[in-house]
Amino acid sequence: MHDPLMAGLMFPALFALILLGLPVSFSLIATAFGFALLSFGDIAPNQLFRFLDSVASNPTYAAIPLFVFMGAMLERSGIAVRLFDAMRLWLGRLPGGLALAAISMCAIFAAGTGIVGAVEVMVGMMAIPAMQKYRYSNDLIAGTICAGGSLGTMIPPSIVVVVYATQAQVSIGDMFAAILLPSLLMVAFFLGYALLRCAVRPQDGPPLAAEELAIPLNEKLRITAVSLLPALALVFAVVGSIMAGIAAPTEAAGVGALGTILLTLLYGELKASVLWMATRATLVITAMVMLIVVGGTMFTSIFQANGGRQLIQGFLDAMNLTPNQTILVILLIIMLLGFVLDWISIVLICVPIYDPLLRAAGIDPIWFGVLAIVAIQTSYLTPPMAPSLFYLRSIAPPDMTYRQMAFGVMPFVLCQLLVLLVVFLLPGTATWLTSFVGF
Amino acid sequence: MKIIDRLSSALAVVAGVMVILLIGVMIYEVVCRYVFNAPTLWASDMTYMLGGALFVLSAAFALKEKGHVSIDFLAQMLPDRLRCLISGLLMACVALPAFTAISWVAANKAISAYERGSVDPVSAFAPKLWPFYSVISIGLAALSLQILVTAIRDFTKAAQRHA
Amino acid sequence: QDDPIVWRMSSYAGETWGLWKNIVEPFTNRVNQLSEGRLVIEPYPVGVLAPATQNYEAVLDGTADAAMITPLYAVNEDPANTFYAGHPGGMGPETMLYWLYEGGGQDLLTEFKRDTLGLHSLVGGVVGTELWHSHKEINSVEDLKGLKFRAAGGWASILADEFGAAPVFVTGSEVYQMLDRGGVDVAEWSGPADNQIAGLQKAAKFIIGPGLHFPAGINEFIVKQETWDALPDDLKDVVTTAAKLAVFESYLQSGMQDIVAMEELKAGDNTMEVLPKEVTDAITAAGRTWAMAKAEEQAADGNDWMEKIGESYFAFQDLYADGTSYKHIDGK
Ligand code: NA
Ligand code: NA
Repeated sequence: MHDPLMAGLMFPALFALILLGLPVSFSLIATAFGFALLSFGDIAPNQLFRFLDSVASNPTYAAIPLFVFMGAMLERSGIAVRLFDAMRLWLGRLPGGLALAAISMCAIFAAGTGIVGAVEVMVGMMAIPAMQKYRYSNDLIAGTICAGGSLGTMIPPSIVVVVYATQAQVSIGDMFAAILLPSLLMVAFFLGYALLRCAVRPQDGPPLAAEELAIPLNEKLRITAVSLLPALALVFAVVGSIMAGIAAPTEAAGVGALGTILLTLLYGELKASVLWMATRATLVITAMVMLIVVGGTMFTSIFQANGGRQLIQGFLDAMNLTPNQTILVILLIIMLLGFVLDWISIVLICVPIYDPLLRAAGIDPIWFGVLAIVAIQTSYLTPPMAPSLFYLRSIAPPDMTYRQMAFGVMPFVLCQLLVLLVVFLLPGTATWLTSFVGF
Repeated sequence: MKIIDRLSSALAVVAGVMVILLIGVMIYEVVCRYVFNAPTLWASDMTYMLGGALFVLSAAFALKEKGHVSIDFLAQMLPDRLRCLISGLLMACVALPAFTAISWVAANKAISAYERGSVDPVSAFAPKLWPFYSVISIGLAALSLQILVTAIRDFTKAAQRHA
Repeated sequence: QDDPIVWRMSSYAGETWGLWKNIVEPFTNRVNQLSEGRLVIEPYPVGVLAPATQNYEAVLDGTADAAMITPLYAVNEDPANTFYAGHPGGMGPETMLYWLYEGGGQDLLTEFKRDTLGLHSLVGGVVGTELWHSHKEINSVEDLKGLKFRAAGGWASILADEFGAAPVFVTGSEVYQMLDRGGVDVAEWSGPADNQIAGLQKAAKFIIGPGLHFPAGINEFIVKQETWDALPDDLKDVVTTAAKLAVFESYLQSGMQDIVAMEELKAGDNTMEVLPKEVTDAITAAGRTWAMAKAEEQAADGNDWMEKIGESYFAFQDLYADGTSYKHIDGK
């Protein structure tokens, strides 16, 4: 009953709809619907609704509106701009200081959630206005936010790593440990790129003006106490409550959202209009992000039911490769699937294909898992079709073009490929920390 | 068509209240468990129900506000009239049937959940599922209507420029 | 030669999981082999035809022709399923095998599912006892009090109502993190082999067994009643026989993996604990109390399946306890 050809045709159909301008989520859902009609007949809608239901019934996704709400409240209340102003005072001498601040903030929140899109949208809403205010170039802003936001899936704890470990049948704790150094390396590369670029081209991330540098220290400290410390306390409430075992990752998002409301109250900015504008932005963005997740889940289900896995397997068999070549080709396929499918779908489709090959070839599944996760991460960021760009579009100011976004992320994609290369050449970056996992 | 816009906005207000409730549930559960060592049996159910319901309920509003991201750099190159025509056709002939069919299933699911008294399959609290499915099916129906309205507006625009 | 009958079979396991290799594959391979290609069952992993919790509906509305699933997700809908889904304090795996095939357990299952859902159900696998991973020792019933225990369904109610524990529902993807960070004191996940693969032994010091929240349960194979009844008699035999054989094979395979895993876990850094008799007795009693109360509620609502199956189940559990005193239990 499998018809791998049909599975293969789903991708051109999907790309056609997306490129004709139908919203991405609608394109995914409509493609799944069309092909489900062909393979399931009149019960196709049942099949699709079942997967909408399963996404809507998954409590881990409840973190998305909460993180988005945090970002929206901090932005609408003006706290975000004050926060970035304060950080800028301290980082002002560094080339691209705000880009560095935005990446660092992403990295910290990435430790708080592993949900794709949540960190990107939250930090993006806060950082983009601040960076634009100080005339950072649009492509650098776009790259910074997309790349920083994609860290959420890398830095533990991350739901993707849990799903990966479960599917690859390896230890969750080992996988968390293995991904840690490579993700820190990735953060370092991101920071390094932003620093280098703004050092070479100061106009892309202008440093502080002379009069700003002249602000006396006690004034600086006052601004820090008022604008920086409360927001940092909020960050630590979110990440700290997870690390201390007080809250599950999803609950920590709720702690953060309440903290944001209290913070806004503290600053005297809590007005009905602010609350409504933030909620409104939360709803629009959450609906957009979640409908893409729903569409991805439906698309994957129909792709698999039509024999998508057999399609990939058949392709690999026909190429007649050595195990090592096969693995490289699979990393490429992972990146291609990442154009449209979400993380978890890719893991569910691909791991069963290569897991037996890895085990037969004696390749360390943890090490390969890190490579696969970095590869998926990269595809998540790589234009022309990339979920991280879709999410950025939902919060991007009108003067930021898709072209700027696409070009802006490319250097960060190179950083990720560099991490991939390092982990490939030095497996110790992935395996070393796993020996320390224990209660 | 104005009525449908208003319906979408009204549902978004309901979803907005759900965001606040969701924050409340999270905090309540953390406090109950961590401070009083008395976790609730229902918080996880409320979490997914609120989280799931709020995004479906605001999907129509997001469409009205042009919040569903699309890749339009190719479409931008087309003449306005053709672009509106294509957009209207995609909405009416591609998106609308899919969402209408899914809404239909959702409504039936809500009705059968009510008639059979279906409950959550894993929770210790085992809440009835029909209110959740009712909200989901209302959200999906509103989204289908909003898709129809979007298509009609696109066709109108295409015709106007033509005239 | 007629075209083969093809069934799309959904499951709740991923293709790389022990459940898939130990239960889904052996069963489908046996059916395909014994029917000499006249009946082909194509297995699909979780998430393709249906998400894990929605397999019953998928078979009922026809998106799947059959499914190999755990009745765990049906307990809330009809608590009679508890006897097949690891009833807290209930039968261990060997008792379960005897009950299913010699004590009428499988026949009751088939009648029960035909009557209540219009599904023909067969036992497709017997799953062994699970384990607890804990930060705290459990030496007495008193120790359960206030314990933050990752639990769901009936076990959560029993923990709260009978033992004053604090059951916490944590979704699958957050269990490791919550246990590792001490957000819960005790977590249950699966049996020794699965838990070892997930690395739970690295998240908490104590490994406690038997995990009486799930002493033993089955996987059930379901098809629509009409589909089953339309099958030629010899193919019905093939499926029934293949299922019984697959139960035997998978029981040995997965049991063996659990034995090996236990041996390795014992050699590791964890402290292994055996629940004292006081605690196992209390859980067994609490499980029965919970089941009696539920069965009465159900009967009052006009569904006496839980009463009927429960009578058979508990009587058999007692029979086994009394009648196996002669049996040699290996020790050293
Ligand atoms: Na994370
Ligand atoms: Na991409």
